[in-house]
Amino acid sequence: MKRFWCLLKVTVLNYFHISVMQETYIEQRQRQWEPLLFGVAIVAGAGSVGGLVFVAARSLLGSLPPQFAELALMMFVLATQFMALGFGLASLISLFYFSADLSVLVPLPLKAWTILAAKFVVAAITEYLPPLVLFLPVLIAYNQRLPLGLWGTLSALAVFLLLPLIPLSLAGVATLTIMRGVGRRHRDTLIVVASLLSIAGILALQYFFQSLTIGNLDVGEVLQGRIDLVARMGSMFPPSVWATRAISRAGEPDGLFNLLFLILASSAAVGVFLLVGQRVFYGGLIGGEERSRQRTALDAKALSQAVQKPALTALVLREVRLFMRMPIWVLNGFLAIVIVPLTALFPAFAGGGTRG
Amino acid sequence: MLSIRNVSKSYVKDGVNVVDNLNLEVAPGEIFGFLGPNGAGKTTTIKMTVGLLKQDKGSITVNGHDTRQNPLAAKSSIGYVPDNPDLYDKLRAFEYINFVADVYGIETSVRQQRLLRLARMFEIHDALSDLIGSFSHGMKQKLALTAALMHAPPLLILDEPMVGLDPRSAHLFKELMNEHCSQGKTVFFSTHILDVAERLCHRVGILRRGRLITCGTMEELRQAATAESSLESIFLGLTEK
Repeated sequence: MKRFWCLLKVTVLNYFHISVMQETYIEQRQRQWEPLLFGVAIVAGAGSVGGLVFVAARSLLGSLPPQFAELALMMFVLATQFMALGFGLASLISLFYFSADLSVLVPLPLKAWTILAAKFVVAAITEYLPPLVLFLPVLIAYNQRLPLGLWGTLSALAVFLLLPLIPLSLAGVATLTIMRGVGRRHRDTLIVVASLLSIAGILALQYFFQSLTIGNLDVGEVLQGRIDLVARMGSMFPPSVWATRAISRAGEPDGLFNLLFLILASSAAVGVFLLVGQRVFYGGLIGGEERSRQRTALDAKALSQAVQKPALTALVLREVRLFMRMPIWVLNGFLAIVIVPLTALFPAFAGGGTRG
Repeated sequence: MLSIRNVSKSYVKDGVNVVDNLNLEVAPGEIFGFLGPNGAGKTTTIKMTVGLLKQDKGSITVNGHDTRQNPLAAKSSIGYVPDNPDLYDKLRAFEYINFVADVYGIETSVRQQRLLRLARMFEIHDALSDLIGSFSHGMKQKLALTAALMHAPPLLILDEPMVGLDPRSAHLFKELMNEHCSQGKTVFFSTHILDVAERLCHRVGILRRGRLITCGTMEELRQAATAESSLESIFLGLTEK
């Protein structure tokens, strides 16, 4: 266990650049405006998003009868967990696929679970930021509508801490399994596929919400019309139901049982991640280290292209080739051209069915 | 100390073996030089020994511990310096050394003593509070070697340790290898610098296309070739066949 804490400390120091900040801002007293600006940006960004969420949650909860408040809370729980899943995938891909430290760590006498758990904790730390912006304002709004009391507040705090663990564990199992299958050397391709899937997911969600808000129905009616859908979503992912009821029914035996279920499920999810990780981690890592020796000789056709060109032409050709061979650059360049028009067209597509 | 038996490795299923039925024994107190042209399989062999790669066939034993059956015990006996150390750029040098010392469970008094001695020897003592990201390649090599020696490993494995080092640092590395060996410990290193291998190693092994084509002391190698041969001419003679 001591090795785990040592590794966690080093991973946290390295991942969050704590030593760099300490040296730059405290010891050398250079660029001290940076943390200040960063703080202002965080407060402004998180404050405005959190404020918007709070206003939306308050108006939604205020317009609903108390029996639907629980359902609305569950929607936010689900949204937070989906967000944790997305961010978790990104964090874990970065921590496992793009970190250079595995070649340092693997030759050390560390068990696989020690490395996995340290990286998982670092990912979990980053996971508490989105719920802070998305879930905390909802809890405040919920508390205004239906006061939580002491047990409710304690339960909400526990739920807040537990909420990202299951999505993060799922993201971890997915990342390590993909790493085993795809290998770290194909990480560019993986990023492109993951980005395309994420964008498809975002577009699908946007389509869903667009279709939800179109028409003359008020929010309460929309929710009543979607009760089955939300309930089905809840039954598809029971932890969201447990998290919701742990808060909404705090102080009752039902609330306590739901909190207990959530604690057990979260612990089990982390356990499954570590178990699966133990089995596939080295395989995935080792697969990524391997390089084949396939070589291709220059053929006559390729050789014929080796003719003198003006320096500018050579420079442009080099840039174009590099651009086309870096999938992530192509993705960054082209997707904006595709997504922006699609997003603009969504209201027309989504509204067609409901306006009837 | 290091025993490699019938080890084969291919990166492509049913493809050409990068390491082909390799057999090698390195004794305690020995400096063993692992030579071969680019792509001969030296780094692959080293990576299999330290656990970064998995062999397809055969077994590797370090200090009596099979690297597959008992990896933690085997790794505890190894100090490893890769050819291009990817250390934590955002950490300070002493934070990294402390971490490695913690992993090996080295007592505070011992670690302080060793750290000071090694850091002074490698002339990095005045940079221990600096961020690793600010280090040159040579300084990173020295830091990686300092970290690898913190637990006084019975087997020190170095992959191309002289690449990118200035003459003084290279000299320090050689002194260090001799010192390590004089304590009854083993040094196993790959290199392209034949002069270093010739003067430093008790035995050398030459690898070509994954196969060990010759292995022995300089005297044995010379006897196999012509009496006046240098290691360079033996190497070129064997690897160009």
